[in-house]
Amino acid sequence: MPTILILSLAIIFLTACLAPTLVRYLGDRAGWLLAFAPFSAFIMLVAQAGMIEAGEALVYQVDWFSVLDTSFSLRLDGLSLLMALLVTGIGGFIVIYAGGYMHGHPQLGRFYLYLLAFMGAMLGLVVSDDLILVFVFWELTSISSYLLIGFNHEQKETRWKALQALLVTGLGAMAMLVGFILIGTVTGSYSLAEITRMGDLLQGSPWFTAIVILILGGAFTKSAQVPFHFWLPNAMAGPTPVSAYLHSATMVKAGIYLMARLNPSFAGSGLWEYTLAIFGSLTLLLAMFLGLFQKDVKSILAYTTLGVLGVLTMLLGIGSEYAIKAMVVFLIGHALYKATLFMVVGSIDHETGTRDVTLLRGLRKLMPISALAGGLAALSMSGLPPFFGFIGKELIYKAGVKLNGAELIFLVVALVGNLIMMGLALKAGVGPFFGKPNHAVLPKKPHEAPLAMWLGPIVLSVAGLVIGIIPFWVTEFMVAPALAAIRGAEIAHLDLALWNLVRPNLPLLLSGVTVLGGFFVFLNRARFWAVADRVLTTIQPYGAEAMYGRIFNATIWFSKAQTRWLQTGRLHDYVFLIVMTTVGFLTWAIVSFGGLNFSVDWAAYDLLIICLVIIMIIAALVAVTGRSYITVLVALGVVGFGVALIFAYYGAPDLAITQLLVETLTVVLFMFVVLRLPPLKTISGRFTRLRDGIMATAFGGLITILLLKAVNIQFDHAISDQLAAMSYPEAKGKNVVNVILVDFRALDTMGEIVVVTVAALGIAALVKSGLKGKGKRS
Amino acid sequence: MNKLLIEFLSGYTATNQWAAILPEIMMGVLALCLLAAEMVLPKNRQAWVPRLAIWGQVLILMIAFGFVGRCSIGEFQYFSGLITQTDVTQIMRGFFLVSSIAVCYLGHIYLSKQTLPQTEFYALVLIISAGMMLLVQSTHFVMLFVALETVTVAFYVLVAYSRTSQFSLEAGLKYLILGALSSGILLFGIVLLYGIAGNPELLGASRDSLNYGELMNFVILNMNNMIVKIGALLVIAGVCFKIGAVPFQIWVPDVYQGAPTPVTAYLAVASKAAGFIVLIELVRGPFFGLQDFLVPVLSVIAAATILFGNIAAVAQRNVKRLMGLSGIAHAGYLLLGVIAVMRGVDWAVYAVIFYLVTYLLASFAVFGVMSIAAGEEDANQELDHYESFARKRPFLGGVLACGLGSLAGIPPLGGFIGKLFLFVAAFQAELYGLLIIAIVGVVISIYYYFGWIRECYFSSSSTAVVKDISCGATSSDRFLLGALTVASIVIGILPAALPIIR
Amino acid sequence: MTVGLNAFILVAGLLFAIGLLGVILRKNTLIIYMSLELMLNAVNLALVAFSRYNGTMDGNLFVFFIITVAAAEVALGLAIIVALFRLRQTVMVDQLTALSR
Repeated sequence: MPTILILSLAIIFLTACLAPTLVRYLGDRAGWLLAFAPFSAFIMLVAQAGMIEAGEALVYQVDWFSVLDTSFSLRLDGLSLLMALLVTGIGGFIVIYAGGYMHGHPQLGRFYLYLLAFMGAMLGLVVSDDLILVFVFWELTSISSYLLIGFNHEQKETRWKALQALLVTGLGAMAMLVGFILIGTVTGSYSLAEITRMGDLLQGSPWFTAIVILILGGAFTKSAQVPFHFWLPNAMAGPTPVSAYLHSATMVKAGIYLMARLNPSFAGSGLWEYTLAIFGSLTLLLAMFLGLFQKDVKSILAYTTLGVLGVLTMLLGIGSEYAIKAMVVFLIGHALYKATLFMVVGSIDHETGTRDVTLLRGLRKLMPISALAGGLAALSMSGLPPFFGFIGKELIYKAGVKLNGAELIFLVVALVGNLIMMGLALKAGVGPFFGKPNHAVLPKKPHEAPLAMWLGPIVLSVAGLVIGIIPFWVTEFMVAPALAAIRGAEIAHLDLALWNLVRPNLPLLLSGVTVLGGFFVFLNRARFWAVADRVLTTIQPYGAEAMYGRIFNATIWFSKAQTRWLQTGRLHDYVFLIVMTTVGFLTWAIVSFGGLNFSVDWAAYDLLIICLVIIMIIAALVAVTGRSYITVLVALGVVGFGVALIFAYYGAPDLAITQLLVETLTVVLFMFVVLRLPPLKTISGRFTRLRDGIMATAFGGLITILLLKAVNIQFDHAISDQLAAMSYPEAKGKNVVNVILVDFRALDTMGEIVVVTVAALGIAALVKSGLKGKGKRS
Repeated sequence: MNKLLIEFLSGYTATNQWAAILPEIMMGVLALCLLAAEMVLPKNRQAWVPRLAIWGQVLILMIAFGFVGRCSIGEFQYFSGLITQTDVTQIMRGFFLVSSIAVCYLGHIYLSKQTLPQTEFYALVLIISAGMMLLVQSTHFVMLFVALETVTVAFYVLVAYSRTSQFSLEAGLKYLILGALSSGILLFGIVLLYGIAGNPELLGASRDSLNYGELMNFVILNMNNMIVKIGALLVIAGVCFKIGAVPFQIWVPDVYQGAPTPVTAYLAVASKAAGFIVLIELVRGPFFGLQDFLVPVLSVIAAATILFGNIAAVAQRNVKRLMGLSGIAHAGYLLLGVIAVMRGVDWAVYAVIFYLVTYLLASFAVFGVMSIAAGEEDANQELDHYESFARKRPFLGGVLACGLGSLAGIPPLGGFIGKLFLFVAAFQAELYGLLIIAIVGVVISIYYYFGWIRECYFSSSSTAVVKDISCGATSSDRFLLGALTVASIVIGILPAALPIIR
Repeated sequence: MTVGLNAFILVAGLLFAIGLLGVILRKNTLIIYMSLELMLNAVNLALVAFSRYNGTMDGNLFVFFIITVAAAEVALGLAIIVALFRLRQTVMVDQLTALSR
């Protein structure tokens, strides 16, 4: 039933819209009701598992817009189903949890609106088949993430961090969009299902490198790979349910999802595989290193999330069957235990008022259920049997030992990463509950969190244990189809039973090393902390985050400087800029033509005209330099009348008369105004005057040259004489202009009349006296 | 009189079909009716004037699209080639009508807070709308000039309309002087083209050398003539002033800030749109032969425009200037579409129009909220005034957020699809460098648009003394702003709802 | 005894340049405005000259439109300048910088 897809999306989005109203009436109990939306979507999707396992895909498609050959198409296959189940399943518990965590928050309704909108967007992202649709949902997740990170917006710091996440992911998303357009152009299709079948076409295209880089730009920023990793720990400024859900279990996996989704098209190319493997392992190492010296439990978890994202990317890059298998298992396991741990940490924070690992101790008696959930999750994260995390880690080592040559480095990276991750898991998930209680130093007196806040953790952590022991259902219905989708292969039967893995072989040995090493790290955490801290303070100023800050500040500085320099508010400068640009244009054009050559025949001019012209030019010069209004006005009048005389000389008496009348009118108008104004003062400083003078002269010279150039070609006098002969001596000829004005160019004439009307109207509005009172709004 | 000339003229006058410009004429008549109504109506009934203006235009809109024809009409020339009507001009008629209706409504909000003459405002808005309709239809430089001046002269008045405000008058003066300067430059370009294309010595010289079609033939035959190129360059420079492209953008922030908010909206949306359609018609028509020459020029302008607008907006705190500067950036994106048209991607014309429509919807939503939120002096609206705005006015805050989101190109709002179309067109035209610059610009724009949204939604309400910004929205405000927002969302989800592009 | 087109074009160019000089040089809005008028006159002159030598009427007609439009612009510009002067008691561009940055 393809409508299931659109139905589950609709349920979640509609519930999102209803959330504020529900919260208004039900308070924080609304969470229980709202959780029905994700859970019902979960059940509807689970019901499709059989069909997906049989190798079919659920497709829902309606036409969208045809210019780009895109359609509104949703498609549910193995990978989508896996992601969709994580989104809705974990989402449901988060919704319930948030009701307890945000208890009494005045804007809980809005919080639920954003959270459910995010859930819908994320679900949409993983089930959409159209690239443009993917982008739409992708951006929606960014926006809702922004709103959620910044939810506690009273601190300036929080708002800054929210914006940082938005800008970094936004930059990547735009790059990704270009990548999508490129893919669409190369393959002629925007459908993911079709694109994944056209790997050869893509890899053979000259755009392939650009496509990979652009797509990875989107995926790496979203999934916080090096060098874009810094936004993720900062995003932990959001409320804990948000961190648990968006920044650990779901949204940050969007980048991984996209890479996995496109893997069938790109796999096999060295560029794709090595880039992923290298960046993934760098992310893992960096995250583990930075994680070592965190004191805040939530930060520790943030860095381990970063590490896991690195592992997943690396595994995708390695790309062997085991690696992909490991990736899928790891993905599921991580979602389960990390959501749990975040929620438990949130409960601790909620109950004790602190998240500082150095203060938290011995809470197990006071918060037994949370302690159980946290402990189980931490063990799963440590990769101990019989938890699901163990299977994931075993598979990683299995994939690793198959590597050879220089690629073995990835195995070493995985080993080191897992080892530290285990140490951190114990530090965050177990540490706060054991040891001697010191409730005196805690800001609040702790007791067990309410039902809403332990239900999710306990269910998810127990699930991690149960599916570790009996993995059959999960591997058969979720892992195998997802594996097939990522590898672009047929669905095959998997055998991931726990007892098959617990055999004495190299991977198991490596697991043992991990466990021992992990305990070592856990016990020596204080010493590691000191070393890491020292290294960090030296490299921090050169890190990616510092670069981000520098670019950010530079942009703002540049913006201010540019405005200060250009937008002075002085009209004079504006005019100067425009004239200068025009001069630049002209000079460029002329220079590119290799200069000018022309000649003027100065001889044999009518003395009268020459005198007239000389007078006009002198008058014009006077006009622009005159020291009193009257002088300037008179000079201006002289020029105007001179032009009129030339018109007359040229056989255009109508024009001459019009010009005379208008000129007179203009002078009179100016006169009226001049009488009201104070006398003229000095013009401008010597330097400015010189600069401006040169500028204007250059421009004028250029224009004159151009005009001359335009007419330098010999004209055929016969035609012009013919027209003159036609319009002059004959009586009717005088009317040619009129005839043309009212018939030939009637529309222009009407327009001209409108201009005059507009001017009249405007002047009336601007100067008419006796203002009316304010208008009233109806 | 010369027999030949008579035949020539009568051939021309035969195409004087006034019915073809019925909507424009009706707009003019409506403007006159308003002036008459002001005199006839008693003092306590003056409120009918804006209603008459708005509903009259709604009627004209219905007539224009009900009787004259729908969006898909052929290409017809009227008035001896002065104007040509195509599907583009028909769509733009609707565009200008919708924007002038919105401006009249915003003007109504604005004028209710001011002690200023009322009727002239609406009359001028109507005339501008008619002028812009003719402007995009004109295929003759004389017509272009006259229509352009109608619009520009009326805008001088509207920008300076608030004669009790020094900001408004200063903006009016700046617009006046710079506008006249740019008109002079434009005219000079036209004169050059006229002189060279009418030169009987040259191949393809025409007796009607100001006509687009004739000029196009001439330019194709003389594409290496320097005067032709310079004339075209100067004309383009004049048009660039109208659309606010770098370096002719310099007037934009000051004028946008000083002008009354409805006029700012009108300038930002309709005037810019008209400029772009004129530009497209120029590059497809008379300057068709100059593509190799103009594409690099316009590419440089587009790149500079995108970067300038976005970077300058980053540090801006005055929201009217912010809208102006971001509007410059939008002009840059639109130039991408124009260049794509020049490179032979024909459907890019519709991408540009689509973008303009989404820009109209989003901008009027934002300017509408600004009009309502403004105090008596609306030039000084700072970002700080919007602190916790969404909490006090949830509806207006939502409209503002959607409008700004659409301007930033966030899916699923209309602005996103608009940008997508433009970018795809630019890609097909192989404008890779420009595309990268545009993308960088879009990312920068997220910063300032979300800076504003952040101000509305995320502000430290605990410490701030909340200034109560004027009155709230009436039910008709809600209707208009709600309709604009819904339209933005619907277009974003179903672009085919707009019968421009499929 | 015909005067060559070049001469007129030269004059037109000079007038245009002088107008520009005024626009750039002067600080008084009124004078700037007058200088803009000068530039339009130059354009008109060039148009008529071209019209005559090319033997087409369009240039002649165009001048009509320019003259009229320019007159309308002048009237309007003066109205704005007067209104501004009433409010600010100045017409110097350097003092009109309320709008900046």
